[in-house]
Amino acid sequence: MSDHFTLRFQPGTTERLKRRARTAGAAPRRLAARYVEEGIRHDDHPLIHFVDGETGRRAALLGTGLDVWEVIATVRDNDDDSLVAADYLHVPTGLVEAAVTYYGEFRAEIDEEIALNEAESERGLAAWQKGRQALRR
Amino acid sequence: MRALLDAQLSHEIGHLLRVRGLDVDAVTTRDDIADNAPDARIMDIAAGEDRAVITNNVKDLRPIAARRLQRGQGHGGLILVPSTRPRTKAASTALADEIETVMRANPGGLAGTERWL
Repeated sequence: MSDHFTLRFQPGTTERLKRRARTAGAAPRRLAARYVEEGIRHDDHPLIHFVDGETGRRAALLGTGLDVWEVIATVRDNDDDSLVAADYLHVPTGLVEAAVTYYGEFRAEIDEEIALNEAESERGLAAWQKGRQALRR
Repeated sequence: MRALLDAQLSHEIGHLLRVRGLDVDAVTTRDDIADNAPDARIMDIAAGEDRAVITNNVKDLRPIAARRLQRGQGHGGLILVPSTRPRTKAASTALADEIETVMRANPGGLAGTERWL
């Protein structure tokens, strides 16, 4: 259940919000709520920002082309060793640790993205192989 | 054929392939690709250079590729690395071997198609 919260914007902010909402194809209130949520998360985790993706908004690591879920999946592949994962990804260890810290707070969201990628990977590969096999018959 | 390695795969893999004479760029080492370039932009750049994108980000890249085909834009192809493949240094040479096999088997490129490793 969501909380209700009333606030007063400075002049012009509402118009700018509506303009951005039209561009994003979102309701202004929903977009405002997203800005607040992501703003707080970014303040708490300054090396994390948020980007649009095919599967919705996602947390990403500033200064890299990496999503947090991609970093965490790589850390997992490297026996949960941030140092080794950073070496593999060629990014500073501090960035990987920032992703791990964010993961600690929003684990369910990141795990969901990893699981979605695994499911899409499994489904896509199986379908592709099935098509190839069908042609050989 | 030409390829572009996505950010979540070590650019060491690209180096291994270039040493073998293959034309492989890495998103992370290209000065002209912004660090925060969205996936759609990566696909756009790759398509413009007739490069297949080598990626583990199946959930985001495949829908973009499909949409490009629907719009008649085409794309440079996808070489998809399943999630079951470990993203580790120890596994990089084996991954490079498989990518090399795909690239040599498709000298004309993979435009508009995908291959899974």
